Amino acid sequence: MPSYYWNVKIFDDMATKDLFSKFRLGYIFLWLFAVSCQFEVTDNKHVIINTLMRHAQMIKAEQVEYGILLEIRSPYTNEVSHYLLQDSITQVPDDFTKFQKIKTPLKGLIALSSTQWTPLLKIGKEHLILGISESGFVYDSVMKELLAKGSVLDVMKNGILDFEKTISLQPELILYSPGLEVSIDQLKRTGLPLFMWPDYLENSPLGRAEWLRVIGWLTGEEAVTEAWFDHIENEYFKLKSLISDTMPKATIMSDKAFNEQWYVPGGKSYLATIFKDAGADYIWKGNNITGSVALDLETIISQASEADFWFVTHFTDAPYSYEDLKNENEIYAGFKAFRNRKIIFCNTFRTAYFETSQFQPHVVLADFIAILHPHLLPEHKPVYHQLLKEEIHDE
Amino acid sequence: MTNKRLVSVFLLIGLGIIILMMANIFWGSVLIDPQTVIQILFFNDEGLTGESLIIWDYRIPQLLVAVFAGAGLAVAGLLLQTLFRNPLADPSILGISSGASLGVALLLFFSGSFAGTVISSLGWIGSLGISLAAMAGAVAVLFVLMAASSRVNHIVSLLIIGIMIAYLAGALTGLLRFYSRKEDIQAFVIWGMGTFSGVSRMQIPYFVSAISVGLIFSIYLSKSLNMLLLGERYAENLGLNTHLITRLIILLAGYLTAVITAYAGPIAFIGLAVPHIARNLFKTSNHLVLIPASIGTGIILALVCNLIARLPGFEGSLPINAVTSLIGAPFVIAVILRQHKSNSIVS
Repeated sequence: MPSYYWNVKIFDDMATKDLFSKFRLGYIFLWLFAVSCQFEVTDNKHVIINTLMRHAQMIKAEQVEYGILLEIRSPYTNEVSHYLLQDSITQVPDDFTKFQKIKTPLKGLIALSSTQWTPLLKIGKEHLILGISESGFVYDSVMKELLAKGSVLDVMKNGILDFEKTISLQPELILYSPGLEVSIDQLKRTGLPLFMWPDYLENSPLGRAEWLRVIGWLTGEEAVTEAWFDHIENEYFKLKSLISDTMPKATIMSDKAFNEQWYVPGGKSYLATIFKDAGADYIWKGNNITGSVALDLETIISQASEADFWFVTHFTDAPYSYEDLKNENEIYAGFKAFRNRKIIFCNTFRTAYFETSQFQPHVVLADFIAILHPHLLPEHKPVYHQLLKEEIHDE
Repeated sequence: MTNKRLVSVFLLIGLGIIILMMANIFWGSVLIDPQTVIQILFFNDEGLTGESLIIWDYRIPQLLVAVFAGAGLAVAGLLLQTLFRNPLADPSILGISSGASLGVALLLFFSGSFAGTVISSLGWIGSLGISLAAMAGAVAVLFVLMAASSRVNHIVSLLIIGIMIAYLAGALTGLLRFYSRKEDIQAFVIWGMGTFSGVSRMQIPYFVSAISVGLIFSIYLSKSLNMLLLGERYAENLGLNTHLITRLIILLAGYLTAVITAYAGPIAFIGLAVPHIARNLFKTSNHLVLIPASIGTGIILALVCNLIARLPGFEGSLPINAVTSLIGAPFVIAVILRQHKSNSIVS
C-alpha cells in the first residue's frame, strides 16, 4: 500500500476523521497531493473528495468518486442509515453493501412531509411527486390542485399508511420523517426503498433549510438548489450582521399552556437560535436542550411573566386577538408582554408556516428583527410573524 | 335445535365465511381486476409484482389475522362469560388488554431515551417491539390473576381483582401519556385503534398456529364449561375440579387475548358481542356447539368489519375498533330485543 494513502480522510475511520477535522486546511492540501499522485482505492476505504453539508447536523454528506455518500441518524432510535446516490450505475467496491444505492435523478417518489415536497414544487419538479401524507393539512394551492386532479395521492392519514395505494404507486423512494415508529414499521413492510429525513430535528435555521440541497441531489437539480441555498445563507448572514453584541436586547418568552403543560423551546433549539440572531434575550437561553421543555405554570410566571416580548403561535381559521388569548387563561392578561401589547403572533393555519418557513429562515429572521428592532428594517412587510393586533386579528 | 337445523346453520356460516374471504381478497383500496387476482392466486404472477405484493403480502395476511383474531376473541369472550356467569364479561374485563396497553405505553414512552436504543440494537426483534411489549404486559397481568385465583375462593372476587388491575394499568398508562412526546402519544393512539393489517407475511404462521392451539384446547374444555353453567357447587358435586378449571379457563382466555392484542392491538367488542349472537342463533348453552358457533360468528363479524374499514373514502384508515362497535352494538341490541319479543330465554 502506498504511503500517501494515509494522507486522505477515511470515511469509516472515526478517529482519523476527528483528527483531520481539526486540521481542515491541512488535509485539503494533503488531498490535492493525494489526487495528483493518482492513488488507488482499496476495498474498504473511500476517498472523500468533498464534504458537503455546512450547517445541518443530522446528515453527513461526502462526495466520493462513486457518487454522494449520505449518513443520516435518527436521534430517537440512534439508527443510522447509509445511502449512496449515483447518477450512473458504476461498479462499486464490496464494502459499499451497507449503503442503500439510489440511482439519481429520481423519476418518482413519495414525500411524506411537506418540507420534502415544498422544495420539489419550488424547483418545478412536481411531476416527481407521486404521493404525500395528511392531505387535509395542505396549505399550498399548487399541491391542493395536484391532489384534486389525482396526480398526487394521499397515502397516509392520521399516521396510518395505505399499504395498497403506496405499493401501486411504485415509487423509487419514500422520504419519511423518523419519530413515529408505528408508521415506519408499516412503511418497512412495503419493501420499498425508504429514505430517512429528520430535517425538523435540526436546531439551526440554516441547518433546516440546508436539507433542500438533498432534494437537488436526488433530482439532478443541484445547480438550482445550490444557488437557492446560497441565496438563503447570504440573506440570513446579512440580516444577522445587523445585530451587534452591544445593542440593548429585549427579553422574550415563548408559547402558551397546552393540557396543563407549557412546552417552551430549549436554549439550543431552532427558535432559540432565531431569537438570538434577531437580537432578543431569550428567557431560557441557558439550558442545553435542543427540543422543548415542559414547565408548569408557576415556573413560567416566576421566570417569564415580566418578559418584554412573548411569542405565540396558534392554529386557527378564526380571527385571533388579545381577548381570545385571555379567554384561554385569565393569567395571561397579567403578563407584561400582554399588558404592553407586545405579543409576537403567528397563525400557523393562515400562513404556509409549516410548509415554507423552513426554506425562508431569512424571512422569519427579518420578521423578528422588524418587530424587536423596528429601526433596522423599517420597510419590512411581515410574512409569518407580526405583533398581535388589539381587536381582531384577521389577515 | 334439531341436528338437521344445526348442520344447516353451520353450513350457512361456512358459506358466509367463504364468500367474505373471497370479498376480502378481491376488494381493497386499490382496484385490481378479478382476473388478475385469480391469476395471482392460482397461476403465475410474473410481471405483476405490485399486485402480487398487495395480494400475498397485504390482503391475505390481513384476512388471516381477521379470521383468527375474530375466532380467538369470540372464544375468549365466551369462556369468560361462562366462567363468571356474567353476560358483560369480555377479554378486557380481567385487565389483560389494559396490561397489553401498559406494555406498549412503556415501550413507546421510553423508546426515545432507553428502550428504543436497546430494541433497535436487537435487530429483527425491533420490528416486533410493540407486539412483544403488548405480550409482556398481558402476560404480566395474567400471572397476577393466576396468583390471585389460587388465593381467593369466589369467582366474583377474582372478577373484582381483574377490574381493579384494569384500572391500575389504565391509570399508569394515563400517567405515562402525560409525560410523553407528541409522536409517541400518536403512535399509542394508532396502536389503540386496532388493526388486522399489522402482521407481516413472515409472522403469519406463528400467529395462526398460536391461536389454533388455543381454539383446539377450548373445545376440549367444553364439557367442563357445561358443568360450570350449573354453578360452582353443582359442578363440584359432579366431580369437577372447579379450582383447576377456573385457572385453565383464565389461562386460555388470557393467552388468546394476549396473542391477539400483541399482533392486532386491543380489539374491542368482538369478545363481548359474538357469544350473545351465537347463543341466540343456535338457541343452546351446550359449549360443544357454542364454541364452534362462536368461532364461526366471530370470523364473520371480523371479516365484515375488515371489509367496511376498507370501503372507498375510508381508504384503510378507518380504525377497526370503531367498526367492530358500530356493527356489533346494534346487532346485539337487535338480537336481545328479538329474544324478548319471542319470549324465549337464553339458558
